[in-house]
Amino acid sequence: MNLQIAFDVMLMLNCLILAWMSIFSKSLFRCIVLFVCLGLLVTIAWGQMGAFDVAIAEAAIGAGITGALLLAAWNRIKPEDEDAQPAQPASEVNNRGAR
Amino acid sequence: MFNQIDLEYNGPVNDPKASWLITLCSVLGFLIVLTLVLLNYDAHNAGLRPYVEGSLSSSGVTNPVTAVLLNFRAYDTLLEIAVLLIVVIAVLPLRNSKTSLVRCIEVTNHDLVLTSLQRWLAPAVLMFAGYLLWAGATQPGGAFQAGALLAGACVLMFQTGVYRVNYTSIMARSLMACGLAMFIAVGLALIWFEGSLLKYPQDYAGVLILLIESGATLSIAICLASLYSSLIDIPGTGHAATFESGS
Amino acid sequence: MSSELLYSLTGLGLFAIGLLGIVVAGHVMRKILALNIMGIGIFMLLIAIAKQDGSFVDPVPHAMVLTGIVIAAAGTALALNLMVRLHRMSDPKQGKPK
Repeated sequence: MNLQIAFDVMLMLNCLILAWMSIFSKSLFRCIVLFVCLGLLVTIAWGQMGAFDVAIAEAAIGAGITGALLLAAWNRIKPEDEDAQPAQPASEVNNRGAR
Repeated sequence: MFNQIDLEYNGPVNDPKASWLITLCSVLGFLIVLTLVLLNYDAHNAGLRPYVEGSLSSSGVTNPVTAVLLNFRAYDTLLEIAVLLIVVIAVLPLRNSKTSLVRCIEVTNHDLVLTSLQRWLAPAVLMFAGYLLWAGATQPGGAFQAGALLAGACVLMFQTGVYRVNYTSIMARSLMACGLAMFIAVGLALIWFEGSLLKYPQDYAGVLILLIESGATLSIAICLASLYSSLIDIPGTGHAATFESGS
Repeated sequence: MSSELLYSLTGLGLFAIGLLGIVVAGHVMRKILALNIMGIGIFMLLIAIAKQDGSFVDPVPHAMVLTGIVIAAAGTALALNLMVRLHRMSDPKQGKPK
């Protein structure tokens, strides 16, 4: 029982940290990847709560389809020279964008 | 940050730190209030569980979530599929509707790993989706999960680019609408026979639910896959050009 | 402290983080992610309420959450399409939508 509580506390802490990081990370790509990770962690949480229908749907839609949609949209709007050299101005733009 | 106050300034906010702090304080206050509400909330009522348990035997399925989704609160699910269809109508650009549903295109560079992954994984995903649809009557599973899995298979098919699905063809449009159409048709027929919208007769409830779920699975899968394809910039098909001329 | 209470409080925390993000985040895509995180917080609260004690699980909130997940995915797709459209319409020299 204690182990169960400890697991829940760790899971919830990780969810909160991942939620924070998936909004306020510097790179937009990192935000998207962390959001997909958050979806998978939440799937575990809903398995813990006995909501198996919701867990299956979240794993397929929340983590899979939404992640694919976000990555496709990021591919359309990313600046052209970002993957060439992530120089100082680009990171500063992202940093200001986070504020 | 508040040390220089300019009474003449009339423009937008120019101190991001201050707005950050103000928002943080208000969100923290909101959080504290909600936490107090939650801690003082005594959840000792039984919820809707006894009602669901009591009428589960007459619903045609034994999985309570499927029973709630497609029998007790079927109206919600009907509206949800309608919302999904409206989003697809809003997103899909109007373009060549004359071509066929699936088209083979020539690819110059074969990605061996992706192609073989697609070849092995797509039929398995298809079969698992069918199993989820069938098992939704008794176990966790159902139309939404199966539809999402099928949409994932379509996204996987998209990656290799050997086959290209034209989501604006007549065939794809009718597949998108078939879930809602079947739902409404069953509902109207039940008004005729039973006198109330989506009130299933007890003997045919399981069959009708499976019929509605099959249509809903197909249209959810095609709708989600078309939403994905609307975000992809396809070089050869003039997708981006349509966007440009549309704007 | 029961685990349902823990999950409810985490749901509230996720909602607050999403609310903070939707107000102060700069990029449109971060706002869309924040909206999704608010949705996850609400779903977690609903599911924690559905499980009240022991093996006592209410299926009605589960069905509501299942509906909400699909609607959230559709809304995200619509918002992303609008964002891409905005990006194409704005001047590429003057920069990215903030």
